[in-house]
Amino acid sequence: MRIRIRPYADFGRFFSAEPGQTCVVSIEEGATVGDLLEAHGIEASVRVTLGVNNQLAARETQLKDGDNLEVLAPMSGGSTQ
Amino acid sequence: MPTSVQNQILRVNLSNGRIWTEKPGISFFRSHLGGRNVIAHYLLTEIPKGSDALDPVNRLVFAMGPVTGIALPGAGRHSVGAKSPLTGLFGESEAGGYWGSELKQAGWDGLVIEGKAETPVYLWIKDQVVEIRDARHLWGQVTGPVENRLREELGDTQVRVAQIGPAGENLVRYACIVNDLNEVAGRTGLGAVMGSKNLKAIAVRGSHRVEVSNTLPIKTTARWVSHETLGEGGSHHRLHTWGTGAMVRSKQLEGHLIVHNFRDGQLDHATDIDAITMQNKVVDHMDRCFACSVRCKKRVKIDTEQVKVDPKYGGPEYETLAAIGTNTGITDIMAVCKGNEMLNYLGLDSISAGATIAWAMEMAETGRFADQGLDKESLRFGSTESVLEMIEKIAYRKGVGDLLAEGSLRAAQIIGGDAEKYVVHVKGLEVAMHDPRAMKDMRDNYPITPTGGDHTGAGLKRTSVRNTVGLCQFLQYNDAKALELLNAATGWAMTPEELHETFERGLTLARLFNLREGMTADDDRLPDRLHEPIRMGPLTNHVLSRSEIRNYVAGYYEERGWDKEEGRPYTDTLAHLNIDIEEHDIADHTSERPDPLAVGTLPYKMSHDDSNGHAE
Ligand code: SF4
Repeated sequence: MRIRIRPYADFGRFFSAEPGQTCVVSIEEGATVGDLLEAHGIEASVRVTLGVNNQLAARETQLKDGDNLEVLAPMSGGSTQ
Repeated sequence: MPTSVQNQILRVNLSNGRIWTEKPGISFFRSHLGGRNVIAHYLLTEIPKGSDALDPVNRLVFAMGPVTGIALPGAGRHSVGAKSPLTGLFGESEAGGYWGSELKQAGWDGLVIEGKAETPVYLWIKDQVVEIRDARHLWGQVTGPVENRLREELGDTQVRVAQIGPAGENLVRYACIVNDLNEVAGRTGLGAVMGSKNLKAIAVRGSHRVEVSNTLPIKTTARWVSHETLGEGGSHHRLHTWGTGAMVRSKQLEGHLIVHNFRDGQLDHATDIDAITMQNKVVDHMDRCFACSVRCKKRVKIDTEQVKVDPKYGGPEYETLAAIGTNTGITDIMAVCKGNEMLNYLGLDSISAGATIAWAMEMAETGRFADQGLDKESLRFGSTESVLEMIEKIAYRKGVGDLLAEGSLRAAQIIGGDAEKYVVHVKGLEVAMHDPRAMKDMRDNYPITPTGGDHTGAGLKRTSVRNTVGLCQFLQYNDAKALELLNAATGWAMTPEELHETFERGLTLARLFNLREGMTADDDRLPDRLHEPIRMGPLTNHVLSRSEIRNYVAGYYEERGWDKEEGRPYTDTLAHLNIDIEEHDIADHTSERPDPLAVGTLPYKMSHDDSNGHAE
């Protein structure tokens, strides 16, 4: 299946996306968000905030063909910038 | 031995025109460092108890840190303080840019202004030569033309100017002090204090390099910032690429974006005002503060038929995007940029202005502003016209702007009824644009910060140390690095214990000032709204309980060496910190520790932050 990814902050480098741009990646049926992230080098230990089709998601969220995935730096409990 | 501390505080009395140099001694600087600790010292020592913040006896203190003005990324910071006309308590705010480092290069570690000039004046500081000059021709003008005029008049395009706009002249209780046209000491109404003194501007030119004791650690750190951390994946890269504002989308998804006077955690189209949209649509270039290679400051340029925004007034930082954007229901990037420009040329704090307007919108929506002739159509969430019109009205105290210029808490007390229940403030200062219901560091910060609802962490060690040393909070320097830089600049060989002690000293001085001015432990709390659940998004079932805050505050008092009921410093804490009870007339605000401390035990809890540092 094909997933459109919008990486924020510095996450673009894991998907070879230009800053502020989206890109499309392929992954096998049944994959979760976590599977996709790990396939691109974002290990489970990295704290991320995730959105699938505009809703808050988790690494366990099941993906389906055509989903829009956002990968962001988390803010809850986080920084003051 | 060369050192970055010059042992010179410039003193000015505007009532009688007296100008003098104070040399408090290196031991004073070593025990206070700079920034808000130095401010706390002057406020507690020199302002008579119970004085009105707009009375000439108030002191307006500009304090640099030991590293301000040295050639190091993040070393362009200064702090400004006074008794706050908004809270009646410890007032302080910090700013970046170039003005603070220029004052340091003119040979001054601080500037303390008292009294009131008969007619408007400005200060001209050229190294050690200081003059009080007529500013009647500048009064009433917005900031841009004033800077131009001063540079022309003084014959030097490099002159750095800190000034008030019309809001400060009109004593708006959250007027700010603007330096370099786009940096502000925004919080707690310091611009109104400057206005009350008839002081329009402070123009500075310094021609000396600030000396340091040991250049090597400073150069190595500066190289580390510019060569390693600014590359893709490096710790400063995100700030450099996007500036602040990159978190709008994260907060939106997580459900704690500041929306509709802190009622809602999400807003449709919020990404229309995030950092990506800004970069794509309105950012002209990224700029920097003194000596900083991170260059995280957005400069916005808009030149359309309808909207024009001049890049010299900067661009909205995250706080402004949220305060006059999402909190008032606005997602029009052009309007937010215009609002930001107006706030900077009129001299208003964006957080308090946006929060006060959002509170007023809620009052209008619920019919509580009927006596003011406002209803939900005339002052409406989501109306860009309402926000831009209110900013102007507040700065000039026109119509309902006169009421809102008092700040949201006073305005609520004036209109009466239950209006106060809807004010999102701590100690009278409107809460910044980070929600403590979702962010633990803000839960730990707001209730105990001596200035009130401020996000810059005056009550917490990490942020306070950076303020007093003179370092920007955005640089990823951990405590060990801050100490290394401090010692390299000053040559003091300070230990982590001694650095920690300066934090406790400054905070305890600010606490004593607040207790003396009538604050009680009951003021160390969050407002009602922040104990309600957020109305929409993933956090709707989450409630921050009052008991959680009370327990946290009591624990915090104990860690500081204050009694856990009222937060009054124990006498042994004061003795350890060399704070003289007699000299400061604070006996009523101290407390005796019930059980004596074991010999060799510190009266407070020492902490050390190793996060966010760089390994070399
Ligand atoms: S990181 Fe940004 S705000 Fe901080 S000193 Fe550098 S340019 Fe200024």
